[in-house]
Amino acid sequence: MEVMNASQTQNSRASYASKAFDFRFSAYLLAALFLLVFSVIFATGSGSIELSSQQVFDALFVCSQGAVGCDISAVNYQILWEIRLPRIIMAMITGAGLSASGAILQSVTRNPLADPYLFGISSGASLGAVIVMAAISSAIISITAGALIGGALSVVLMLALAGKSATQVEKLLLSGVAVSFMLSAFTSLTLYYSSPETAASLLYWMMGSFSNSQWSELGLPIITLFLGVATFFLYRRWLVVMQAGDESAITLGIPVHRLRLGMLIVCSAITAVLVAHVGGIGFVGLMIPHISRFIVGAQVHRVLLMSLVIGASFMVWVDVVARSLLEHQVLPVGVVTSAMGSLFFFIILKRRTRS
Amino acid sequence: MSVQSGKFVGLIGPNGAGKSSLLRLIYGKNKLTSGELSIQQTPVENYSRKSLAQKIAVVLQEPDTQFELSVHDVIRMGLTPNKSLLSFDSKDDHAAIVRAAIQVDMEDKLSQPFNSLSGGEKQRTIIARAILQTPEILLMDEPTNHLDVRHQIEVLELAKKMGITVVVSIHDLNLAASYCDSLILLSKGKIVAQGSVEEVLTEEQIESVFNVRAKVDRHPFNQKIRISFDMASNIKHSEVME
Repeated sequence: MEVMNASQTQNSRASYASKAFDFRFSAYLLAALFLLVFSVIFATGSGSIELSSQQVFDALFVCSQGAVGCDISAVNYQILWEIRLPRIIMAMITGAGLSASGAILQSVTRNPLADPYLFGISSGASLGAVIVMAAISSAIISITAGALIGGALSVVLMLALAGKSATQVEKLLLSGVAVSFMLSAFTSLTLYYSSPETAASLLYWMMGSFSNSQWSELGLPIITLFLGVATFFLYRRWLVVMQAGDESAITLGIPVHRLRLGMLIVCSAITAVLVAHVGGIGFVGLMIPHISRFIVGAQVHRVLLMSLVIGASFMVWVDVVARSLLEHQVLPVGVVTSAMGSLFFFIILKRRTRS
Repeated sequence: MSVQSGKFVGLIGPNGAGKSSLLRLIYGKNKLTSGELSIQQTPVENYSRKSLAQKIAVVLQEPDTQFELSVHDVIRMGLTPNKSLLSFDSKDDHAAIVRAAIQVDMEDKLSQPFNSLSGGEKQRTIIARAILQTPEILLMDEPTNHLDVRHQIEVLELAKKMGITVVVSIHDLNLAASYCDSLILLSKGKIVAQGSVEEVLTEEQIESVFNVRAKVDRHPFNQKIRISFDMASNIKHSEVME
């Protein structure tokens, strides 16, 4: 009887600990969501024409079409709805999509350095998009098709290069890096043979920008992100087990190689669609999952949720910085993320050296 | 070879004898190229990966996780073979995780990072994961490596307590003699002997397979088979080393 009581006490203590952790995760997630809402409102108001939070609120929720009956001019109303909001939403989708892809790639490869860039997916998508822009057309639908084909090509090349060793993560990563460099070389070659005007616009595009975002172009990225994230959540149970290593995952009934390949394809699709719309934006897929894991632990669904929300906020802020750092000039987003990324990893390095 | 249901069977043999390879064939990591392997009268290739995981739990030398998984996270993985992809964890599942942790005396460390555990604690955590899998067969690949003697005993006791068929590859012959109902002696990928501990652990067989002279007698504490190695036979080797 005494033994039963003891184990019951332990039972309730352990479940209490687990509940406390769930509560903490929910609290962090809620805080991250608040930060996202704040970020969106702040970003909507900031820019070459500053709008107060009251004006932003009115324009979003109170005014009717044409800013009738509100303390905001019709021009500013139009700037907010037609320029800033699509741009902010595109930034959110990009941040969320790249971060989620990074989180998943890191988890299926058990490698904290894995992200869409390391695997060559971004380079493939960039090459496809650049070739289409240089040689065919700059309509978003053809750029997207080019980026998707380029992304798929990078995955096929990576698997072909790894050959039978594709089942080993290290070899897969190494062949990904090789493919990444090879495709980047082809992109540079395309730039080299383009006319100076085309090369300049391609270079600007490759550095990433949300400047050309329009409502009509948001559909495909939103759908791709939604389907991708739904797939990630569907396989969350298997994705967690992958973190115990391939051998253990096999003993727990997981089709390890098929799952890894499937996730690689989903991440490629998300990355390719995003690259086609906003150009090359590095470091986000690497950095945000690290931050998320630091906050909520290593459970995949938690890291994924947190990465989505923090990634979205982060990219909104990056865009704000890119728009406002230099007067009358918008910096390429990729430049800002790379600068922040290198700083971030320098901090991690310092922390690890100290510990 | 055949393994009787409910028995504790030891796989012994020198390094490279094929113990781990044999276990990998049973849990479906490696495919058979020749011969037959059946689990409860069904050929192993007829099992899906999932149905095999529902029947067989495996305790390996778990590598450190790159990301900080907690003990709770690792034990929870044991639910995977019996859960559909879409399902969420129920209250019963949570209770089962805690019960498994209590069985291996890890309930106080559920929220600790797996990587921070000692070798013995890690093995206990993996056994709790195996318990949660509710398997009919437990396979263990050298589970006592790198553990001190107390933790070696602890790990094998926990496996025995599960009361299911256990196949364990093990280097320590005395430990094998103490815990196993029967033994399979492997050498160079072939079965050299199988049967009861007394039948397999003979002085002749140990010398021919391990290339070490040994004396086999009964332990005064528990009357189990005891093996003492003749260190003098290794003198030549030591001299060469010097």
